[in-house]
This record gives sequence, C-alpha cells and structure tokens, in this order.
Amino acid sequence: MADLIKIKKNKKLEVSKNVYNYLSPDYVYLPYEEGYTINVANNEEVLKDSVILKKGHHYIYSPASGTVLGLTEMIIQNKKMNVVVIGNNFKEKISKIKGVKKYLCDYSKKEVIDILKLYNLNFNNLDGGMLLINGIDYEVYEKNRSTVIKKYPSEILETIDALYNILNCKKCYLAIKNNDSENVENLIHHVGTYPNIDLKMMPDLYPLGHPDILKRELIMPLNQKLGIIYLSVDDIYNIYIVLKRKRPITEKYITISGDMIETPKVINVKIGSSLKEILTDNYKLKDGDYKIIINGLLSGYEIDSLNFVITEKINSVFLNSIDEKEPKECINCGMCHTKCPVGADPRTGYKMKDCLKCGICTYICPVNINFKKRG
Amino acid sequence: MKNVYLRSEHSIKSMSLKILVFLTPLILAGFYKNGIKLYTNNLVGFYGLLKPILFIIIGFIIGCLVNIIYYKFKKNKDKLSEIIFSSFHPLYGVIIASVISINTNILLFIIITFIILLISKLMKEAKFNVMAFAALLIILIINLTGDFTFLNIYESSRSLNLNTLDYLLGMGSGGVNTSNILFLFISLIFLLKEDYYKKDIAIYSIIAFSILIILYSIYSSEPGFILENIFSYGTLFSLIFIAPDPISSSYTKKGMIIFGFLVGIITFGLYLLEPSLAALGAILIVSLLYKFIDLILVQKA
Repeated sequence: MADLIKIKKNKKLEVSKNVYNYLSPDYVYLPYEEGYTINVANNEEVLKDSVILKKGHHYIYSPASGTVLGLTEMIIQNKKMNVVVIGNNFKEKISKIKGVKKYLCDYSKKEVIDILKLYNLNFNNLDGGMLLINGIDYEVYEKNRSTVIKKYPSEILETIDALYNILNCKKCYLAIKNNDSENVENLIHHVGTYPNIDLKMMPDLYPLGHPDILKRELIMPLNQKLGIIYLSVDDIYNIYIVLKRKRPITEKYITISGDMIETPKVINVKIGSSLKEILTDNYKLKDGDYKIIINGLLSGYEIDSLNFVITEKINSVFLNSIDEKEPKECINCGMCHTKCPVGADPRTGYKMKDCLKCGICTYICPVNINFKKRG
Repeated sequence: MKNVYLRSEHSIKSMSLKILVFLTPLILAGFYKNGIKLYTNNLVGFYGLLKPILFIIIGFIIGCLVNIIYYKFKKNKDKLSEIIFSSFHPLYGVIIASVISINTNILLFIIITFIILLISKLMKEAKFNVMAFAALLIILIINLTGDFTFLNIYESSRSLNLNTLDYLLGMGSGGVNTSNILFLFISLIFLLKEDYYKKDIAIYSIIAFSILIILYSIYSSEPGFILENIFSYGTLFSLIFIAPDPISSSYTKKGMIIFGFLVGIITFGLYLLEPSLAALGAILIVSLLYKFIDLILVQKA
C-alpha cells in the first residue's frame, strides 16, 4: 500500500456519531433525461413506489405518496434537467406487493438479476468466483458506508451470504476500515454465523475505497483470475431492500459536512429531495460565504446553487468557506507522480488514461497547482 | 468547477524548514569543530569563533534577499514570510554555506552565492543544480586565488591521522558537510520519512558510490581505507542534501534510481581525480540530464 496516502483529518469536518432521518420533504423532484415518458398526469394522486417515468424497461419510481404538481427545471449534477415535482402528502401510501420470498437464498440467480434490473439496480458483472464487498467510504469525511454497516450489520451479512450462494462464489471478502472500531466490533460479533464471509480490516488510506484500488490491494493476482464481483455495502443494502421487500430504492444516506456547518452529520433522505430543504430543516449554517461541493473534497465538484436535487449518485455535500490558495510555479518535486495510485504523471500526460480522478496530485502539491482543473 | 478542496500541509516553507531542522545538528557540530574548538585553543578570535555560523546565516539571508528582490521587482503583494519561502533559495544559501571551506573569504561567498541564486531565480526553470554549481564555483575561484585547503587552522597545524571513528564522531576535516557523519546518518533517517524527499536518489547514489569505492579499495590493496574514503570530503553530505534537490533532479520512480546510480558512478569517477569536488561535479553533470532521464528514458521508453 506504499502508493496510498494517509490524509490528515480536520476534526471540524468529522460527522457526529448519530445518524438522522429526513424522510418527509414537502416536495420530491424526479429528474429525467430525454426519451422518458411521463406515466402520470398533473394533479394525479400517486402512491409511494409507483412508476412516474418510463423508458423501455427502465422505471423511475416515486419516493413519496402525494400529488403530481407538474414539471420544472432544476440543476442536477451541474446541468439543467427537467424534473417531475410531487407534493408530499406525508401518508407514505404504498401498493401491495406480491411474490416476496421469505429467505434471500430461495431466489435463483436469474430471479435476482431480473428483480434487480426491474428496480434499476444494474450491476455490470454478477459473474465470477470472488465476491468483493467494499465497506470503505471512498472520500475522506464521508461516512455513508460505515453508517449502513453500523445500522444494518445483520442485513448486510445475510445478503452477502445469500449472494455468495446464489452466485456460486468460491471466496468472499468484506473490506472495512480497521480504525472504524464500532463496526469492526459489530461485524466480528455477527460474522461468526457466516463462515463464508472473510472480514478484511484495511488501513485508513486514500483512495482505498476506490473499486480498482481495493481490488488491487486486497486480492492477490492469482485470485483475480477467479473473476471479481464487486459490490459496495450500499449496493448490498439496496439489494436486500429490493429482494426482501420488492420495493425500489427511494432513500439514501448522504454525508453533509463542511466548516460552514455547525454539526456535520450523516442523514437518510428521500431520493429527489431538495438540498436546500434538507439544509434548512436539519442543519445550522455559519455566517459567511461558502462553496458547495458535491461528492467529496478530493474527487468532488462544485455547484453554484443550493437549488439542487439529491439523486442516487450523490454521496455527500460539503459547505466550505472560501479559501483559495494561489498556485505557484511547479518545483519539480514529482509528488503528483510518485503519490499517484496508478503512477500517472499529470504534468506530462503519462498514463493519464488510467487516472482515477482521485485528486491526490492536487492535494499533495506543495505549490497548490490544480491538476484537476487542467483535466 | 473542478478543484480539490483539501490540501496537504506540504509547502516550500514547511519543506525548507524541515530540512533546515535536520541540518541543525550538523551546523552545530560544524560550529563546534570550526569555531568553538579553534577559539578555545586560542587559534582564532571572536570573529573566527562565529565564522561557521556567520556563513550559515549569511547564506540564509542571501536566499531570502533574492526572493524579496525578485518579488518586489514583480510587485507581488504577498506577505513577507510567504515571499521569503516562495522558493528553496534560503535553503540553498544554507547548504552552499555548509559545503564550502571555513577558509573561504566571506565577501567572495556573498557575491558568488548572490549572483548564482539570483540568476537561477530569474531563470523560469532551473536547468542545473544551483547548490552544486555555486559551491563548485566558489571552491574553484578560491583555488585559483592561492593556497586553498578545507582544513581549519587547528587541522592544518597538526598532522592528522584520522580513523573511521573519528569521522563518525565529527573529527573529520572540512566544513559543516564533514562535521559529523553520525549526525548525517541521523538526518538521513529523518529525511527518508518525508514524502517530498527524493530518497531513491540519495540511497542509490550512496550505494553506487560505496560499491565502487569498496571495489577500488580492494583492487588497489587499500581495504583499510574504505570507510574513510566514503566518509571524507563531504561526499555523503552532497549525496544526501544536494543530489535530491526537488528542482533539478529526476522525479519519476525509475528516473530517481537511474539519477542516483549515475550520480554515484560519476562521483566515483571524479573522486579519483579530485575527491573534494567529486560529488558536487557529478551532481551538477547529472542534474543537466534529469529531464532526459524522466521523459525519454522512463516515460517514453
């Protein structure tokens, strides 16, 4: 793990141990791209988990029950998109479900793949002899995966064990951080019941949470020939929800932190909630200008406005004070290259096709050159 | 907008200050050997007592001055502390002062160091090792102006018969760079832990040089002088503090190894001609090739 780096943490940005729920937003916003057909009419009453938008076999479900209020435009991942607005009636009315099996192991591989596809859980590869589950949060200060493990250890282990059997795997690793003492203790307590699961305690180094890096560091080249099925802990929990309840994924844990937030914390929100509403109702902001950073301080990106919708791709939001350091001339220290986890050289373009966009080159640079901006 | 919103604590200032801290025991050992010891033996006066430290302070001030002048000329409005440590020049000044002989004329040291550091600052990208160049120039000019020796008055007034332990404990002749080999190794251990330190250059250059010296000593039937040859003439100091200069050395992993080996080999070659200038000369020569090593030999290979 010589290439990976330990990032010195700022205690002010660490999230509190308590996890909060915010599952009653006034409105939910469902963004959609071109090609989708709207399955509902204006002012129509909709149930939670009902299909709102459809494109072939891809469905977008309502995260709340309520009234369809119409269409508008909002910023989604830095681009304007059309959204369907649903006014929440806070009743969480749902339709009855059929065909749920009591035990996850009762599903066949084909059934699992079909159900996951129906609820938009499309995984690239579910073939292989090695099941690798990533319980390490990718970004510094993000605690989504550790929160999921903390809250649902038995569900996670049950699902991993079921997948191990359903997918006919030969080996199974669950990787977590070795300094996440609460989860280490919790999982050790539970894992004895699941002899197929090999718990791997990994050092708190960046970017070990990245799939490629975890595969490289954890799995011996010999085992890589088995074929790796890679899933994160949040994928596992989503698979559990979908298989056990036959419901789409409508909620998500996100980390909200930053030096402009009084109490950073992980919060469980409905997908489609407005960031502005989440912040107003759950967080106290400090006075002063700030920038809004989505999906991490190292690999994330900046947005201009809080008029932003939480989608399944959002893991964290940081509100940070503005402290731009002026870049100086390169001093040829080479740390951008020597510390790069894939050995790329952002100055010469060497091996840049392998770049993970992890941000280490910019983080480590002693003269504040922004290599990320250079692309 | 793409950016990274976390920054490491690395900066030119922190890197320079850490290296200065690692140099401090050697500087103090040099002060003892070339100042206090001479003063207590009534060989020099108060000026002579302070001369080793004066070199270091002046070297540091020249580096700071170069940065201040450069940024005042560019009408930069940064804080003074940021301007002073906007480049490695203050550190360069100290290292140049550590390499030269205690017998060097202070005025000559000031003029040459100032001119070389200023020129290197004005060049957008340094193409050579400034420290090695300045130190070599000072030594060569002094050599041309008359009898030149690295020995201080105490050392030149006695016939010295030093053994390995003497070198280790700081009785070797010369400036700060040969003042205490033990302290030098301790500094190296601390430097090896630093991210920014190009450790492969130091390690591989020492390995290459040492192997060649060992082979040469065995071949020339002088096996008893192996360690003395390695420890003397400030070679190790140059390989540890000057060769891994961030600006003018290879930065790719393989490049650093090649760079280190080349420095070690050329140092040995020059050592047979003029031991006291060997490492500086080798570092200067290889520093001219660092881009070729990184871009052509490593990345385009």
